[in-house]
Parts: sequence; structure tokens; C-alpha cells
Amino acid sequence: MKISVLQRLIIAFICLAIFPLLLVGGIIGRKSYITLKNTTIKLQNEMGQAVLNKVTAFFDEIEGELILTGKLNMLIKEYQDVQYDTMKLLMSKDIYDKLILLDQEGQTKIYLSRLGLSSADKGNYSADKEFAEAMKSGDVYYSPVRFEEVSGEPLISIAIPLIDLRSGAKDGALLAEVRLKKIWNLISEVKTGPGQNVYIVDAKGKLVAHRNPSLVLKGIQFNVPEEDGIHSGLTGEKAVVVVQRHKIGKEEFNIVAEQNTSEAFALAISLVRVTSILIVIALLATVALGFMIFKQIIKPIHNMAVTARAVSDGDLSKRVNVKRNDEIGVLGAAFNSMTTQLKTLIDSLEQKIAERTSQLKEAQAELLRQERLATLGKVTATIAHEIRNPLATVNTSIFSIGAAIEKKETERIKRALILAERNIRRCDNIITELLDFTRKLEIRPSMVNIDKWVERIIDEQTFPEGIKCIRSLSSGLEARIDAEHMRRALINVMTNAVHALGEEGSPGKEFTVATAQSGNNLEIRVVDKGPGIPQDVLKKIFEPLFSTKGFGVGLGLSITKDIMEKHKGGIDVRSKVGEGTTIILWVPIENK
Amino acid sequence: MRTNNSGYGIGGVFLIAILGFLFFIAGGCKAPARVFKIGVVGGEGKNTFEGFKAGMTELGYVEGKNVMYLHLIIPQNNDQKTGSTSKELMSQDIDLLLTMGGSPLQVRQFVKGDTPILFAGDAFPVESGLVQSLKHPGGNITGVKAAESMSKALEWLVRIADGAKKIYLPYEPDDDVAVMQLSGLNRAASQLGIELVLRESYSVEKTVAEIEDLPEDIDGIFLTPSRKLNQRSRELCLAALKRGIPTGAGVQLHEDVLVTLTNDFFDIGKKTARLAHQIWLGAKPADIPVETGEVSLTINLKTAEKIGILIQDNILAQATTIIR
Repeated sequence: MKISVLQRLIIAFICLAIFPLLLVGGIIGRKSYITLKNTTIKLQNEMGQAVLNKVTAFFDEIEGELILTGKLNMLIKEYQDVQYDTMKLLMSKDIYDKLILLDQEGQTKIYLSRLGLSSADKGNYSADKEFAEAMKSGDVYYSPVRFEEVSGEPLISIAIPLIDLRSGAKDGALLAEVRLKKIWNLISEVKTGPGQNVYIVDAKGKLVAHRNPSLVLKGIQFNVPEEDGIHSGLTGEKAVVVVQRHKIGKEEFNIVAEQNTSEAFALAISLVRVTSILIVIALLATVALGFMIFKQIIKPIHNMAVTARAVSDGDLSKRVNVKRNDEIGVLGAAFNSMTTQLKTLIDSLEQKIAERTSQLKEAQAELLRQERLATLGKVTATIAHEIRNPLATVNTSIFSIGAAIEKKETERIKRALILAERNIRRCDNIITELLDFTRKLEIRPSMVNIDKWVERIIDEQTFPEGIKCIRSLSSGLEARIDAEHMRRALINVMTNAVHALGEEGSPGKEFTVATAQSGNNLEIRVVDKGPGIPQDVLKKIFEPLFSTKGFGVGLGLSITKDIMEKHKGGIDVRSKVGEGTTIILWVPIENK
Repeated sequence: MRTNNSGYGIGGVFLIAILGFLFFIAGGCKAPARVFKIGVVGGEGKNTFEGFKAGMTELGYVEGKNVMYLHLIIPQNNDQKTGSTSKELMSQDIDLLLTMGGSPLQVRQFVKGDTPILFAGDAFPVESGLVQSLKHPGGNITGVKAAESMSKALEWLVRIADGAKKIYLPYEPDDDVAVMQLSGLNRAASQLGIELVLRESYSVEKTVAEIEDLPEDIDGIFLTPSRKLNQRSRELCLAALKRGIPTGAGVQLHEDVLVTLTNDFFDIGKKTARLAHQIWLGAKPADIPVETGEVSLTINLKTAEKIGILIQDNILAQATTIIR
């Protein structure tokens, strides 16, 4: 994947700036969160404990004075006026909404009400749970919290059994309705921080006391969490909530201290916010930096790259358009200078190459001309040599004929004529060979019975005396060949064999012509027992005009090779000095 | 050689933008704090208003800085004046209207839109139809009601005027609050075994004259919330003193009243301030339950001495305040 310089810079910036920021911010944020959570829980615990202490003291004081009043009432039970005044005095504390002194049957002896008339109720409370429980257990009884129907203010009933000091019998009870509204002030006295709150809910989760009385009067319900931690607070916002459970009598109260998470984790949130701002700034800086880098560095480099590519593609007219004093300006100027120098150099080189090419062409033409002249000289010399000899013989024959005519020697004339004719034919052959070699060879194949065709050619030949041709024509094949051209090829090969056998030092005087199938090829083998061909000569035997004989133009094997190749076949030569030579003419059988 | 500086220019703009962003984040553009504009109307609410202001101060409000009290006018029980004052306050675009004593019902008629109203010390907000219920006031009004202490106040007068059988009670028949008290007081009198001598009052002067001519068997004078009479309670007390008749009241009147069981209006004012604070923070009056004030017992020993009554220590021990 191709990554541009700009992308690399952005990745480097993200790795070096934003990633560490994120990492450090994350670690600090998490550490702060845990520390703040623990600290907040501890603080809420302390605050809850402070309220608990106040509430416990409040109830201890009430219970204490009620017990004392109860005992006092037992001491002065004979003096109901004093009892009345004692209870009135207690009532003036404004904590009690009602104070009722009951006898052992639950009948009202004294009834005092904060705002109602003291003589209003003289009823029997024996069926009341508060009275019954206190009388049954002999202990102080606390009722569940109840809420005044009209105002919604919370009240709790406390029943104090009156015990006869001598008999221990339960002589009655002191029933007090306590206004829990007074606890609201206790809670208000507890100092709270931002987002902090402490309040009391009863066993059913109903709000009993809060620094904001409106919430209590509304009758708000709170689901007390089982464990301290982050939960929904009283107002539904997420808060660190700590609960202290406390029993007053048999009634459970929950003192709940909470702090909004937004306040509790303000430091952590602030850290996250600062980190976020830094990241945003870093991102903006990246964009600005990227833009500046793009404008100042990347774009000029990109332009230079485009120009360099164009130059490398051969357009040396391109130039970098950078007009600056800095390194990029120097680079651009250097690039332009190099391109100019390169163009000059290339122009110069092209001129030199053109000159040299022209010189080379002239030299080649001269060489070709000289080669042609040499070849022409060689051909001329060969032809001159090859034709001069038969012509000389013909001349001699004509002279002999003339002399024989004068002497009327018929036989001599005949021999001379035969000789003349042979040499004229020889000249004709030389001319034919030359024409064959220069003419474009065109193959016109036809189906030929090879064995018969070879037989016929051999039959047509006249071999020198003493040289024997052995035939081994048993291939039984037919092939599509140009019979005329192939005849020429075969005769050339047989002629070479005959010449080889006629040479001095030849170990044998016979040659064999055989036909056979070898693989997918038809082979015509001409095997002589001549002196063989040396290796250095063997390499040149197919070269035109090459000949080791004292006669001939040296085109026979060259023409033969050409004919065989035109038949998609070939000519193989195997020879060993002193043992003879085998020449194989082969064509593919598919020529059939 | 010319230098291409356009990239630096754009980079500079970016840097300025970043600095501006940082300045904004740092709170460089803090909006000025809004001032809480509170309109105040009320006739008998001086104590209440002091409590209210004290409560507001405790809650962090500083008059002239973040709170403004507008047109504190004591209409002297002039309903027409109360109405015009309320109208005038409404034209000031106030955030809250505080009514003390007076007649919040009438004030409400002049309040435009949803402007919150707080009452401080009204005794019968439910009965008068001011709110739907104490727990759920509804509408745009809530407040702190005075605790209902009339019957108890009457009981205290009977206890102090030992053996009292006949109690004179003047009231203004056109004062709704005064009339509303009567049925409860009659019921209390019956339970206490006394007779209430009810007399309609059409002028303070006539009532004073009536006190001066009260029959001998009248054992006490009980004063209830009656706006005109309350305003001139000193004259009533003086007349009672002259006759040596013990006086009792279920409302804060002149200190010469022998026994007074009444609400702590300073405390009511403080409580009302807390509600005002909640409203300022966005709470709706309809969702703020009506709170109830606390009562206190005041006994004037000087008056007792003047009329020749000996108040027993066991009674004095129960008083919140003793005027010696």
C-alpha cells in the first residue's frame, strides 16, 4: 500500500501526540475515578455517621425524657394536677404532637395536644398497637413512621410502659406522638458540599427527613440500594450513595448520604475534559499543521515528483515551479538545473549517436559492398574456374574432332563428341546449380512411393566403373514430397558418395542407398565406405561455395539442406575419417 | 525570490481559532448572573418579610446584587390598593410575587401568565381555594401556611383566665378569614364548656366602645385574624386593660395581649425564602407542597399584673416567650 508523506506525518503525530495524551488521560482519569469514588464513599459515610449520631441523640433524648416522665408520673400518680403540669411542660418542647397518659386498661388519664384541645380525647387506647405492644413486652415501643394526612408531615409514636416499682406490674403507658419534622433541622445543620445530600428514609423507603422539606411533604419514595456505590440518587440523578442502617426500637431507618457523580467525579471529569480539549486542540493543530505542511512542503514535493516522473518519462521540457528561498526552493532550482543539464547532455548524445549511426551505416554499406564484391569475386572465380575446365575440354574435343575429321577417324570423333557433350552438360549443371541456389525454392508436393521412386533415380544414374551401388529399399512408405527437388537432393548426396569412393585411399568402392522408417520420420540413407570427412571440414560442408573437391561450385549440400528444410525435414551427416560417411535425408511421415 | 506565505496565513487563523477556543473553555466569556426580581405585597407581613429576607441571605442572596425586592407596599388592608400594587408589580416583569398576610386570592387575579406566587402565613389556603391541597398545590401558587392555632389559643386564654365561662369575640363579617375561624372556635368553646359571645365589628371605634361597655360576666376577650381590628389591636388591648379583662389571641397582635398562641412569622418568612430559592432554581410551585409554620406561646406578665391576674408557674413554664 502506498502511503504519502502527509499520511506518514499524520500517523506520526497521532502516535507521538494524541495516543500518549489518550493513554495518560485514560490512566489518570481511571485512577482519579477510583480514588474519588473511595474518598466520596468515605465522606458520605462520615456525613451519614454525623446525621446518625444526631438522630440517635434525638431519639435517646426523647426516650429518656419520656421514661423519666413516666417514672415521675408513677411517683406522683396520686396527684393528677401535678402529672398534668409535668406533661404540659414536656409538651411545651414542641417536639410532641400529642402526649397521652393511659392507665393499665388503656383508658386516657391525660390527653395533651400541640394544637388541639387538651380535653378533646378521653378515649380508650387498649386496642392500639402502641399501647398493646408496650404493655405486652414491658419495653419502649416505636411505631412505624406515619404521615399526617393533610400536611404530609411525618410522625412516629412512642409508647413507654409505666412499671410499678415494687410489684413490677405494668400500670399503664405514656403514649407520645413525636414530630419527626424536628429532625429536618438536624439534617440542615450538617454541612454538605456541592451536590451532596443526606436524608432519612423509613423501612419502606419513604422519605422522612431531608433538608428540603418539600421533598418529604411530597411523599417521595426511594429505593434503598443494598450496597454502597453508584446508584440513582433521590432525584434520579446518578450519585455515589452510602447507606447506614439503624434501628430505633424495632423500626429500621436508613440514613442515606449521596453526592452527585458530576460533583463527586468533578476532578476526573475535569481531567477527561481537559484531555479531550487537548486532543481536540491537537487534532486542530494537526489539521492546521497538515495544511501548512501540505501547502509548504508536500505540495511542492508532489509537484517535483510529478515533474520528475514526466522527466523520467522523457519530457525534459518540464520544470518545477518553486520560487522560494528555503531548502525546497534550493531543491527545486537544483532539480531544474539538473533537468536542463540532462536535456543538453541528451541532445548532445543524440546528435553524436546520429552521427555515429550514419558513420556506421556507411561502414556497413561499404562492408556489404566489399563482401558482395568478395562473394562476387569468389563466385566469379569459382564459376570461371568450373566453366573454364569443361570449356577447355570442349575446345580440346573440337580440336580433336577437327583432327579426326581430316584423318577420318570416326571413333576418335565419337569419343571427342562424347567428351564435349559431357563437359557441356557439366557447364549446364553448374549453371543449373547456380540458378537453383539463387532462385526461390517452391515445393509442390505429391504422394510418392518412396522405394520405387528411389529405385528409379538410382536406375537413371550412371556410376563410374568399379563403384557399386547397393540398394536396400524396403521402407514400404509413401510420402508427400516434391519429387523433382528431392531427386535433386538425393542425386547430390549420391554424387558426393561416388566422389568420395573415387578418391584416393578410399577403403571401399561401394555405397548403399537405403530407405527406412525411424520414429515418425522417413529416412533415406546414403552410406559410403569412403575416406570419411574430417571434423573441421564437417562443420563447413553446408556452407555455400565450400568444396574440398577440385571441381564443383560447392553448392550441392547447401541446396540439399535447403530442399530438406523446405520439406520440414533435414539432413544429418555422420562421418568418421577412414571408415566412411553416412548421410541421412529425412522428412516427417505426416507428409504422407 | 518571492515566498509563498498563504499557508502561514491560514495556519495563523487556525492558531487564533484555537486560542479563542481555549479562552472560551477557560470561561473568559462568563455571562453576568441574573438578578432575582421579587415583587412583595402584604399588609401584616413585616415580621414575615424580615424572616424572608434573612432566609434569602442565608441562601446566598444579596439584596441589590442578585436579588431585588420591588415595591414593598403595605396596603393597610386596602383591597383596591393591593390590586393596583399587584398590577404595578406585574408591569415590572418580576420573577416571583410574594404575598404576606393580606389576601393572596385577590393578588392572584392580577398576576399575569405563569408568574409564580408564594404566600407566607395564610391560614386557610385549601379552604379558601388558593391551593388544591397542601401536598399538591397545583397552579402557580404555593407557600407556607400558618398552623391552625385558634382553638388552642382559646384554650390557653380559658386556662389563664381561670374559671372563665364567657368569652367576648369581635370579628369583621366581611373578612373571609375571620368568618372561617368561627365554626372551629364555636366547636372548641363547646368542648371547653364556655360560651363565646360573638360580635360583628364594623369599625374599630365601635368595638373599642363595646369593650368598654362589656357586661361584667365577660371573663375574657379573644381576638382572631380580622384585618382592621388586628391593625389597631393596641386600642382594643387598652380598652380591655381598662376593664381588667384578660385578652387572648390566635394571631400576632399588640404585645399588650395577655396570652398569644400564634405562628412564628419570622420562621414562616424563612421557610418561604427556601421555597423562593427552589422556584428560582426551576421548581414549579404546583410541585412544591405547602409547608406549615410553627406556633409559639407568649404570655405578657406585665398585662397580667395590670389586670390583677396571677399566672401560675406551671403555666409560665410552658410559655415560649414571657414578657416581663
